[in-house]
Amino acid sequence: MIFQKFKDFNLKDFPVIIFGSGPAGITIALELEKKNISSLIIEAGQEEYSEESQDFYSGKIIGDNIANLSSSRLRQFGGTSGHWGGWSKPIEDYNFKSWSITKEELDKYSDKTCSILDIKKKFNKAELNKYFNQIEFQYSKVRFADKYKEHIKKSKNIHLILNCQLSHFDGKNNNIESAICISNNSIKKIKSKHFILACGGIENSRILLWTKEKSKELINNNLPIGQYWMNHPWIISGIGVINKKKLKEKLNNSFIDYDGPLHFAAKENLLNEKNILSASMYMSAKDDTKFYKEIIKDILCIAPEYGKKIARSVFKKNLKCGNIFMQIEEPPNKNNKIVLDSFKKDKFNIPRVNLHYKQSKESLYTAKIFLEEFANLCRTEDLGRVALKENIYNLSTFENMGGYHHLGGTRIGNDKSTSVVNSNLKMHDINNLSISGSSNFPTGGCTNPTYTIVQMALRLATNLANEINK
Amino acid sequence: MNKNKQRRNFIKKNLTLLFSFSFFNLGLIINDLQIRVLKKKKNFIWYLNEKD
Repeated sequence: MIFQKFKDFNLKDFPVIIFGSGPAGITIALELEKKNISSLIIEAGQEEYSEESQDFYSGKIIGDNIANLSSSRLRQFGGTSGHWGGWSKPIEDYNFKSWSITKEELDKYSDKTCSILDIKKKFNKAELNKYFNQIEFQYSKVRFADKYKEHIKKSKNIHLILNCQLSHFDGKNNNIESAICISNNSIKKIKSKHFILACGGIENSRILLWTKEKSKELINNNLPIGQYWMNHPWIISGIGVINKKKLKEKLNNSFIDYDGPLHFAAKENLLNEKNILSASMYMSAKDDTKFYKEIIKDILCIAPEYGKKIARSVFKKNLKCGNIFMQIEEPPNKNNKIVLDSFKKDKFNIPRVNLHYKQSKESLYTAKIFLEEFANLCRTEDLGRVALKENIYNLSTFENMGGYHHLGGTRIGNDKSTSVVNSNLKMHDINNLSISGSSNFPTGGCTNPTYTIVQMALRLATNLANEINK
Repeated sequence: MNKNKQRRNFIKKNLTLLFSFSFFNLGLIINDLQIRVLKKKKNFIWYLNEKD
């Protein structure tokens, strides 16, 4: 059932209260429902976002430029899935090295994840050489609110309340007693056995930091809440031309031929041998004809022999030509962090966030080395030719066009000095609070996070159901 | 007579094999030794071969 404002339910009917109705929150509620466990989802936004609602998300960025905090996420039913690009893929195997959960544990939930995201479980890889794989994404069109609205409306086990803002948690002795919420301008104290915080990669930290100030006996002061915040720098690192026919010949039968972009990822060898982070690159599925011609003209000018050769391939439609986009990993850095503003508060008197963020030199170095190796491969095997943007080549700076993937802040781990939740996603030193979402990522890899968020949410729901049904 | 023919055939076969390996290797070496040339055009550094 869906309610537009808080209603006085018999809260004993809901052993689980979930804050946030994005991909993580809805996935958990759906999975609990399958196990006959009722849950109440509390969403601060409305069915659709509005300017007024988005204002709750505004905050200050201190340091390097990154996407605006209020436009890079949505405060509405379905959360940020309301405007996500849908790119879905499991993160690379080697990215799990510093995670306290294994890839195998998450892979158990792959079928269900694909079903939720309405995608095929098809993530082929084709080995290009010892450093690169061609990789395959699936593109989800799921908007969680659109897909699950009717289901939730009819559900007896899932109740969703809109327009109800969680302020903070209250409790002591390692136990949350109530969640303090604001609905219809009045304060509600919500009690339950289990609370799940699934409000996104910034709000999860914000609410815990505010809880730390309001309920001093509840949270371990040494936990690095809000720290090690990361995103995926998304940049244009160069331009290039790739001869698809030659690439197909090289990859033989394993070439991934589909409608999506031509996508390549670094293999573990490249990371280890060159001491770089994870990265992937792609060229758009659609060609910009004007830009295409410009690139061919440039090549004819600086490399006439090669230019003549590829000009002939233009008519055979064998060429992929255009910008080279990259998505790069950022190393976890304690000083990239979310903190509460000391003065500015929102309408509900909750401090706004300040995001301290500095671009990483390692990410810039990764972009250069990755593309340089790829350019050398294309050149020596005559698969095409690649050019690096001068600022990447000189290691001066990069322009991040994204910053929409908010990672870290409540990292998973066993060491309380570098993590906030344990491997079961329960907050350290609190018995009845679990946290879900990309804020749990201890490292970011370079893959879009939603697929992994859904896998982790399914795992959390399964573990919680086992605990409740014991 | 037969023995000599056998020997000749054996040498011929192996020499062919030996030469084919040499050409194969030579091809690889040439490929690896493509001389890299960097050229700048409109804020982009192109990674090219000398013969390009």
